[in-house]
Amino acid sequence: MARLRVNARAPKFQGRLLQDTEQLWRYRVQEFWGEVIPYLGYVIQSGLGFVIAFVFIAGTALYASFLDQIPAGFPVRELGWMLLSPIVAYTTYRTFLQSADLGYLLRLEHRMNRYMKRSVRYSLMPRMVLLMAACLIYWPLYSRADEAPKPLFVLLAAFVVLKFVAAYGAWGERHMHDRRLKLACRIIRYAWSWGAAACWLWLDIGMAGLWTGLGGLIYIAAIWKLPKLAFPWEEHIALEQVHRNRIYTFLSGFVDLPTMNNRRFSRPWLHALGNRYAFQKKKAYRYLLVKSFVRSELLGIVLRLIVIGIILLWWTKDSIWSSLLLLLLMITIHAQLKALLQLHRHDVWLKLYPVANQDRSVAISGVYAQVLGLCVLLLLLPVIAGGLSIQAKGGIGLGAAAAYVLLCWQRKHAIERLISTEEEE
Amino acid sequence: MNPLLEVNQLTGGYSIGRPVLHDVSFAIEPGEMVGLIGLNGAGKSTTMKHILGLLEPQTGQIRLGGKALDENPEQYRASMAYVPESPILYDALTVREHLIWSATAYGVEERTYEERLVHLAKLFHMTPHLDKAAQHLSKGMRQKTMLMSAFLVRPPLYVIDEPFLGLDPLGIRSLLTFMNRMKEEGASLLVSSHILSTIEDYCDRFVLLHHGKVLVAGTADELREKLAARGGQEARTTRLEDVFYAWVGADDEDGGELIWRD
Repeated sequence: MARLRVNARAPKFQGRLLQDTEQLWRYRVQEFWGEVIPYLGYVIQSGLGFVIAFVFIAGTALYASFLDQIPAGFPVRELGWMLLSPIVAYTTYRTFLQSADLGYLLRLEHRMNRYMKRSVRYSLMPRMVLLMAACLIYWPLYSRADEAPKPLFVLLAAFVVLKFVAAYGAWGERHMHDRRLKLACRIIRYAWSWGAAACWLWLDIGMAGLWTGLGGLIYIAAIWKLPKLAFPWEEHIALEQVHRNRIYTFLSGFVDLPTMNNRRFSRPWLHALGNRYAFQKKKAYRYLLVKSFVRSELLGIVLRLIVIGIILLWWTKDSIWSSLLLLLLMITIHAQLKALLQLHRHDVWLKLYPVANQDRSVAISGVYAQVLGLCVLLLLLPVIAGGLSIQAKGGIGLGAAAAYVLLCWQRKHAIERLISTEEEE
Repeated sequence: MNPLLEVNQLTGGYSIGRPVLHDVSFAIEPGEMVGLIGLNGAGKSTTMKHILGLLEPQTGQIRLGGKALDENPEQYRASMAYVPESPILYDALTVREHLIWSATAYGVEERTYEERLVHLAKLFHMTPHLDKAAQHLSKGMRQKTMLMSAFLVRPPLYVIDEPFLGLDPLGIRSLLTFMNRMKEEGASLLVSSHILSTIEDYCDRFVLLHHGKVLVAGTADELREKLAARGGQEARTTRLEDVFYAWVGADDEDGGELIWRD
């Protein structure tokens, strides 16, 4: 893996940019992409580009052949619901604001309107494109398999409007000061998005328009009326940091970048995990790693993958294709768990504390094997509950065990290679 | 007695050919507290980073307990605890978990840990905050967590960079009392601070760095005598702060002769 230092670019003097906040916004966007683009070369070189191209070509071919022989009773609405609802609900905004802005831009708050408008437009555009792309991909299947498909432009227009409503809600939530209120509104946004998407898939146009129109108006009015900050500086800065961290965490999978502080979740119900490694000198790093992992964004990603995986496997539990799905999920979780290598890799305390590199390597391999093992066991549950023969279930179980051993072996060697490279450096 | 820490003709810094430190030499005996003093940019933190092994000396040597870092890295690391100028904590961990992590890494037994934890938490008034996540701590509490993590493991040497930043007066007093106790128990401390009036009565010796060189080293009295021998106006009873100013203030390019009312 190539090793690079994070660009330590000296910030240009932005004094003149403060006169025109729109220009400042443009400068910030260019600066961000100027930082990120050099690393994209490494992402493409890693083979990801090839994999994406392959998946696209193979996926198109498979989809086309599937369209010719859609099985009777295919749950096309359920599929559309699962595909489109998350895209409608999930909305983030990039503001490119930085911590120092609290000191320097605060007094220009009254002039930040144009800056924020650009941010909102910049953030919504790709999300709308993604939603429309998903609708267009879904459309050929929907129009063939649904008993009463709606016209394409109606479906597109409806989902775009739904997205705008959810985006308004997300923007409002960002301005809310009260944590509990913010959380409640977030839950309502997701509920509303999934509910509204279901209306447009299951009800006729009139009823769907009536229910989602009414619901949407009430939702917008509620968000509008709830107490909010005029300009949530701290929230904008914190969420921008989260976004940057995610991008750098993604890039660190391809090029050796010190990842920034990731978002932390308290998860008090998991506090006890890792305690058994305390006061065992050789397991010091494992203690730290487990504590960090249970409060990391990575655990959230793994949990979401397990939930989605269990739903999908439950759906295909009577088919032998569930084995392929299981393998795919295992590989996805394996890829995500690569972030364990980066979790404390550049910490100064690892250089200062008397922790042997060998113990570190054993700790990462151990946590990886435990997490992946647990995921595999959970994912096997729907298969076990399915209607396949005992022999088929046994075969899938053995296959999963073999894949597990292979993935653990591969990861163990990758960790050892990484740590020996660090030692040489 | 063999010195615990020996810094021998150390030249180093961040880039080769542009050293920040020039021929820096000093030693710390067991049970001694040494103050590393100097203006901003004098090279105090760079010296500490070299001692910690975060920077490689360009020339010269650093030995801790008679061993250089590359001879036995684990023993070298286990012989010292570091408290940085700005607290570096894991946002995901609670105060208690930070202390357990330190204790585990340094091989402190659970029973010893429990005893020390109770005492340190009381001393720094942190008992009610032990189960708070680091990301929810105030600046002073973060600093106290760092100090507690270092004092919990009882190594032979403490390297403490600006320990009083962010601490309230009660915290400063607790820290000074504890540092004194550690010293009496035989530990050595290398402390860098700008607040000379606070450390004056606690440090056995001082190393005054200026522009990356050791300008003068010795006890507070020796510093005064050396200043007097150099022709300084300050009387032998002058506070260390005034001696420090007399050595480096007038010598500095900017502001040496300015006073606030100007």
